[in-house]
Order: sequence, then C-alpha cells, then structure tokens
Amino acid sequence: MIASVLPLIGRRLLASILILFVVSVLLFFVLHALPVDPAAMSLPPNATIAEIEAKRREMGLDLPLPRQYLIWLSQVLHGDFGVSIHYRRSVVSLVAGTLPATIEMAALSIVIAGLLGVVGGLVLFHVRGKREEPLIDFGSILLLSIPEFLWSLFFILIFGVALQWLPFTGRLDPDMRLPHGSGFLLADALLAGRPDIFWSALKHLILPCFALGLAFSPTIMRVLRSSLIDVYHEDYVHMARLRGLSERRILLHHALKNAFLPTLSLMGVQFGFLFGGTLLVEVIFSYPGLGNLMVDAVRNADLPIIQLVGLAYCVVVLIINTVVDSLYLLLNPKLRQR
Amino acid sequence: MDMLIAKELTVSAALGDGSVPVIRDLNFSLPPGRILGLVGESGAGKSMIGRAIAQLFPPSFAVTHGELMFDGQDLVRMPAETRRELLGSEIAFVPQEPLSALNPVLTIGQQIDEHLTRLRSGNRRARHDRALAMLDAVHLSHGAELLSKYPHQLSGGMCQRVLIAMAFASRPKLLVADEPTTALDVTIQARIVELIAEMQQNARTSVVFITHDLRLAAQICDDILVLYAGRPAEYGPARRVFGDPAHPYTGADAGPERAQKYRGLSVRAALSAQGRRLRTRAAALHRGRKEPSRRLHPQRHNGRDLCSSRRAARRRGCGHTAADDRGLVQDIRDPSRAVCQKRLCRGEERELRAA
Amino acid sequence: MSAGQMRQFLPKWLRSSRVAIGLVIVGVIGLCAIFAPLLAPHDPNDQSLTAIFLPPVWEQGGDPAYLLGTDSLGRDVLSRLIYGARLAMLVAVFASLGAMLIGATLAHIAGYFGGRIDAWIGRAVDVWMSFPPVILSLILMVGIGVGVRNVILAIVLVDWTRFCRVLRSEVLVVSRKDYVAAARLLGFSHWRTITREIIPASLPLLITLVSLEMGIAVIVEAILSFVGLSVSSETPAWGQMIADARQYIYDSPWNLIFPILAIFTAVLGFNLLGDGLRRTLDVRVTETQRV
Repeated sequence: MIASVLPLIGRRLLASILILFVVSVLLFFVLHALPVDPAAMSLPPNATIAEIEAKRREMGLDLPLPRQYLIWLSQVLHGDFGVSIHYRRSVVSLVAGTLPATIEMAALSIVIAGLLGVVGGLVLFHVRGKREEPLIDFGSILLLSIPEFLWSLFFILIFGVALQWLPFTGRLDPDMRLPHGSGFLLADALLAGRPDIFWSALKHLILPCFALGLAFSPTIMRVLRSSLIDVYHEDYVHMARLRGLSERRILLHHALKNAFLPTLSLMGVQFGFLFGGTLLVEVIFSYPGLGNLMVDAVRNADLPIIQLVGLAYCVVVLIINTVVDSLYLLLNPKLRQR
Repeated sequence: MDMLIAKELTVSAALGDGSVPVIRDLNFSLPPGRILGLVGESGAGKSMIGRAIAQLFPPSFAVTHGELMFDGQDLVRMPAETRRELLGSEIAFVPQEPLSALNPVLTIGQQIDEHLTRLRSGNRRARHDRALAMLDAVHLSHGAELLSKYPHQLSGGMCQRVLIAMAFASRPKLLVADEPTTALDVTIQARIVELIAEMQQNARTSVVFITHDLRLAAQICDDILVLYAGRPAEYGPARRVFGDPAHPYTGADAGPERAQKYRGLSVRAALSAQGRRLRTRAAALHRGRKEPSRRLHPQRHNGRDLCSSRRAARRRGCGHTAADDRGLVQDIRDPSRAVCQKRLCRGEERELRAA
Repeated sequence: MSAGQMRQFLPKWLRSSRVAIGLVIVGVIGLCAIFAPLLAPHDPNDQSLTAIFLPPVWEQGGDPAYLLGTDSLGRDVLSRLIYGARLAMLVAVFASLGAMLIGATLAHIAGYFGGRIDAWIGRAVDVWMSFPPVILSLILMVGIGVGVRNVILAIVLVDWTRFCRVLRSEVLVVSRKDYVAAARLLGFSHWRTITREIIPASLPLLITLVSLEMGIAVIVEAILSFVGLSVSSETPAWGQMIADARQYIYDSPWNLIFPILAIFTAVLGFNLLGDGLRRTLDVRVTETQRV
C-alpha cells in the first residue's frame, strides 16, 4: 500500500527542488533590488565611506547580481546560509531555534480547524432545507469574514484583558525555562517529565491556535457541506436507505467517508495559508517563532534571515502538500491500484 | 392474503401551481410467491411504483390518491420508523445500476456485514460464514477473496449478484427489482433474470419485476402489468397478455395473429412509426404543466382509432382489463366500433375456447 | 405592497438579501472614503496631548467633540477611521481590479488555448502558490518599498494566482462547449470568440471573485500596515491603528475595538456581496436555491 505512494513522492521531490530553485532566485533578486545597503547596515553609524566600501567588497556586493546569486547558492549547498546582520549569529541556528515553535502552533491549529470544520460542516448539512438554514449560513459567512489576526486581537481583549483567564504573550510563563530538546515544547516537556511546563506551554498555545483554527474552519465547513450534498445525490445513498439503514448511519458511515476526501484536499491547501497566518499571530501574541523572526528581519532589512525564512516557509508548504496528496492517494481505494 | 395490493394508486409531481400525475389509477394485486412484471416505456412511470413502495420519492413527488397495501399494512400512511424496519428485511430492492449502488470506499465484505448486522445475524463469525454462504447461493466463486474487494474491482454482473444476495439475505416477503438488467451486458441479462427467479423460488418471495423489455418479462413473470403514459394499459396473466393483448399498445395493431407474431418482442419493436409519434407526444405532455384534458391526440393507425379522450380502466369478467374510453370497450378488430363490454368479453371467451 | 412583492421590480441580481446588505455596507464605506474630508469632524493627524486616551462619548469622561474617543497621541478615532476607509477602499478597488486583470487574462489564455500554454501558466501558478501569501507580500514590500502604490502592486502580484486558478477551470469547461466551437467555425477570430462567447459565461464568477478579493485586499493591507510596511505613518490606516492600540491595550481597549470592527464590517460587506452575487448570477443553480 505504501509502495503505491512512492512514485508520487518521488515526482514531488523533483518538482519541489525545481520550485525551491525558482523561488530562491526570485527571492534573491527581489530582495537585492532594495534601496537599503546591507553593508552600511552591518557597520556602526559612524563608519566612513571607505569602511563601507571595504565592507561591500568583503560581502561581495560589488559583483553583478547573478554572480552574487551563484556565490550564495554554492554557500547554501554547503550548508552555509550566512550570518544575520542584526543578530550576528548564524542564520541556521536562528531558524532552527524558532521553526519548531511555529510548527507546533500550526499543527495544533490545523487540528482545531479540522475538528471545527467537520463539526460545523455536519451542522450546516443537517440544517439544509430547514428554517434555520439561512441564519446558520449567514453565520458561516460572518465567521469567514474574520481573519486570524482579528480573532487574535478579539481573544486577547476578552480572555486576556477582560477576563484574564489565559496568557497571551510568549510560549511559557516568565519564570520558566525551556527544557533542552527538539524545540517542540509539548513533547520536550513530557519527555523531561515536567508537567508544569507542559501545562504552561499548552495554555500559551490555546488562544493563538484557536484564533488560527477558527479563522480557517469556515472554508472547511462549507466544502464539507457541499461535498456531502453531492454525495447524497449518489445511488449508493439511496440504496442504503432502501436497505433500511438509519439516516444517522448513512451520514456518518457512508456519506462522510466519501465526502471527506475533497475536504482533505482542501485542508492541505488551507494549511499553506494557515502557515502563513502564523506570522501575524506570532507578532500579536509575541510568540517567539519563525514569524516574529521574519518580521524583525524585515524591519532591520536583515537579508540573510529573510532569504532563509522565505525558503523555510516554502519547504514546509511543499512538504505538507506532498503529505496531503499522498494521504489522499492512500485513502481513495479507486486510485490505489496502479 | 395478497402481498401487495394497489388500489387506484395515483402518484403526482407538483409543478408550478398544479400537479401532473405520473401514475394514474393503478390497480393490481400480487399474491405471495408470484412474480409481477411491470412493463412500459421510459417515462411510463414504472420506477415510481418502486419509489411508492419504499415511500422515498424525489422532491415534490407524492402519492395523491389511492392506497398501497403491503401484507395488510398501509404503506403510504404508516409511520416512517415502522417503514424503515420493513425496508431491507421484509421488503427488498434490486437496483438498476449495480456498480454505483455500492459504496465505493467500503469493501463488499464491509457492506454485506453492515447489512447482516442490521438483520441481527449473530456475532462476527456467524456473519462471516453467512456472507460466504450468500455469495455461494448467487453462484459467485472465491467468496473469501471477493469480500475484501472494492466495488470498482468487480464487473457489473458480479455487483448485481452481490446486491441480489443482499436482497434475499432476509428472505423478504416482497422484492422490487427495478430494471435490474438494463445496465448490464445483453449476454448476462438472461442469467441474472434466471438467478432472480431461482432465488425467488427458494425464498417464496413475491417479486415486482420492472422492465421495459417484454422479452425479459416473458422469461419469468407470472402476471404482467403494462403501463402506458402512467396508466395501466394491460393487466393479466402473462400468457394472456402476450397471447391476446387487448390494448393496441401491447399488441401493436389489432388481431390475435398479429399479437402472436409480436409476442416476445419488445414493445418498441412492435409499434410502427405512428406509434412512435404517439409516444413522443405523450412524453411531451408529461413534461407539460397543465393537466391536458385530452391525454393523447386521437391517432389513426391503419385507419383505426387507437385511443380517444377520456380513459377509465374497467375490469372485465375474464380478469383481463384493457383501458377504454367513455365506458365502452373498443373492438380490437374494428376499433371504429364500440361494443358493450359484456358482449365482447363473451365473444373473447368463445374465441379462446376455440383456440 | 409587501416586501416580497416589491422584490419583483428589482433586477434579478439585486433580489438576494445578501447582495442588498453587502451593497449597503460597501456603499457606506465607499461614501466615507470619498467624502472623508466632509464627514470627518477633525483632521486625522491632529494631535492634542491634553486629550489623550479619551473614551468614547457614551463612557464616563467622554467628550462629544471626540465621538469615539482619542488615541495615544490625542488624535480623533472617528476621523482616523473615516480616513482609514479611504485607504482601505483605494487599495481594495485597485488591487482587486489589477489582480483580476492579470489573473483573468492569463486564465482565459490558458483555458482557451490549452496544451503547452496551459501547462506553463499552470506551473507558474503552482510555484507562486507554494508560497504563503502573507510571507510573499511581506517580502515584496521589503523589496519594492512602502507606499500606497507599492501596496497595491504587492497585492496584485500575490493574488493574481487566486483568480487565475479558479477562473481557469471555469474557462476550460466553457471553451469545450459547442457554441464556442460553432463561433470558431463561423470564422470568428480568437479574440472575438473569447470576448463574445467565453467572457460572458465566466463573467458571473469573475464578479464574485472581484468582490471577495476586495475583502482579502482590505485584510492584507491591514496586516501590512500593522507590521508597519504599508504606508507612511502620515496616512491613517486601520491596521496601524490596531498596532498602536495594541501597545496601550490596558489604557484604552476601545481604541483597539473600533478599527477591528471597521475591518470586520468592510470584509463582511464584501463577502456578503460576493456570496450573494454568486447565488444570483449563477444560472446553473447551486445546491440551495434559497436567498
């Protein structure tokens, strides 16, 4: 069964490499069109023009752009992604320190979005044709109109400031320290046997993840609903009724399994957007993840970070797309036998 | 007691501000263990009868008049829960499109198992054995392998056998087979029909066999009901209907000899070009919004009136009814003449005794 | 005459209540945008250090001169909201039209001609879409610099793919229809076939997408101005108001609530309009015929 997925993964791998290449080229050229001078940025303000020029030569900025790109590319292939202009640390270490945090938040968020989406989709489907339908449908458009950063602010106002139930800054309580490990706090805390860190991390994740989950669930709800409607037109649903099965059984055991496949496809696409949405949510919640790193880098015109973070986002989205497509292949019996 | 009785059953579709009947004044009764063939063109309304039995109509269709009784119970007025209990256990169905009637993401075994669970067939072991026995009964080999396959891996004929097996699993009192062979190859149509007959004999099930193919109906049916434009055109024992059709539609144009010649052929082949025009007009009226006061325009067939304005079914003493108009019966041999019902019936009996 | 009867006099696309509500909301915001100098009680950049963090007029300590209160620099919130509407509408209209032009053109070319052209355009769209849009717009703003025109350009460059992908499938279906083949057989040029036969069929979807895109553009602009990468701080922007208010959330939560409501209302209006239009303009009926 797994074997049927390998050709797909192989093809995706090749395509991804190509895409990453193109993206890196685009990134490079867009960023170097900046009016900002990285050399001047990396020296103290009172540097002389000569010193700046020397720095430029040292950083290779006087060379034509394509050559600069090739130099950068060869460095990258050797694993050298450069040094942050602002932090003066290697970019890789900076990204490695923040990427797990973002992935943790994104993963929890997509789970929430999926659960809410499926439940909401079932509800939307259940009320079709009834009196409540226009109202609930309107409600789903209302939900759709609230992007994740509005939900975040909304939650902060209500749960953080007004009710003060949950924290809304950072990953852990201020007095706690990150345990050593992979960077995935929830897992690290459990492995280190520190339930207090676990709960603290979880509490800090609740508001941002629900904000992201709520923002991305309405689309899933609507797609599930329309897939269910399409499935209900199929012959086998009518046949199941003729065999005397209850509507509940038909919905949960027959229809949902069929309607879930296109919904899964959509969830894969949505994850790409959700991962991008983590950026803003991290800024609002002061969450030390990739998004915050990116925004700081953008403010400081710290090009090496921007480049790597941009590529990192791209890689994650490509991996997710491949995983989702493979899952689709595995779950759909018709496509399996090839 | 008859298993299925229809009395003046009328099914209509709500269209705009009126309603158009798709089945009109249907009367039949099906004794236990007999097979009734429901024959007619597309659009004649035969599939609606299947839906009427299950009470699962498409939106805006409903029974507007008459009764439908199953084993003494009123199918139309019974509560939904009671009806759902009957479906799948005492009333079973065999569909038209076998490949799409099975859930594509579940294996055959899972679907049979679900059905057997509903029928409360015991624990998992017992259900598994029963499933294998069912597949054996419909002459499907390699049952164990088959259970783990998906519907798209089977042929249409195999799927239909599985569906027939599931239908007969509960030894139902009534089976409705809605064009079970239409989607299958001609070569296996006859075999599937024979399978249904075989299973029916073992289980003593009453069967309503819906088809447009008179030849297939002739293979296994005990009684035949011919539908034309939603109305019963012919009803009686199979031999009679084929041997001596009273309605021009069934026997094309007149005469027992002509009818003899056309027996066994599909109705379509038996009609001439004018008959085809008739059909198209009927279908167009079906789609129309108003209830036409004249169901079909008067047509001439070989110089004879095939039908006229109002129609009412009359039961003739010999158990053989033909739709007529104005309360009188058309003389088949000379339709320009209308004779009194009793006289024609007696005349018919004389002929039959002579033949 | 009841409301239901009156409905018959309206053109078909206006009959949906969603379209009506959406139009009203968009209309109000549009009017704010156009007539901002007339509607705003104060200059939005007018600072008054004696009147900072005033609550809205209905709270204790509110001042009727500043109906919705003031922010950290004493600027009138209501005026800033109204002027912010100007920026939001400007970006919404031009960015979505721009994205529509590029996306729709490429979609029609790809769908109509098919083959290699379709494959290449499809690949370009795939590469583009393998990037989260927020990140991409951020990077673009870094690359091309701040300013309203650049914001519009950035949104156009990021979101044309959305139009392209959705429209392409629609155009593909329409292009295979018989009447298009008939037009070609009659000797119509490609241009004429596309404009006369295909575009009218894809127009309803196009209009819906434009409306939805305006909502998305408002959000993206808000995000960019939140991060400080949109327009200069001279121009009032809703996102910027949120960023400012966030720092002083304990002092004046109202400063945060109003721009949030503004963004939400604008996006809701565009979404309702788009959704309503989708139902009324689509000749092939969708699952629910309800309005």
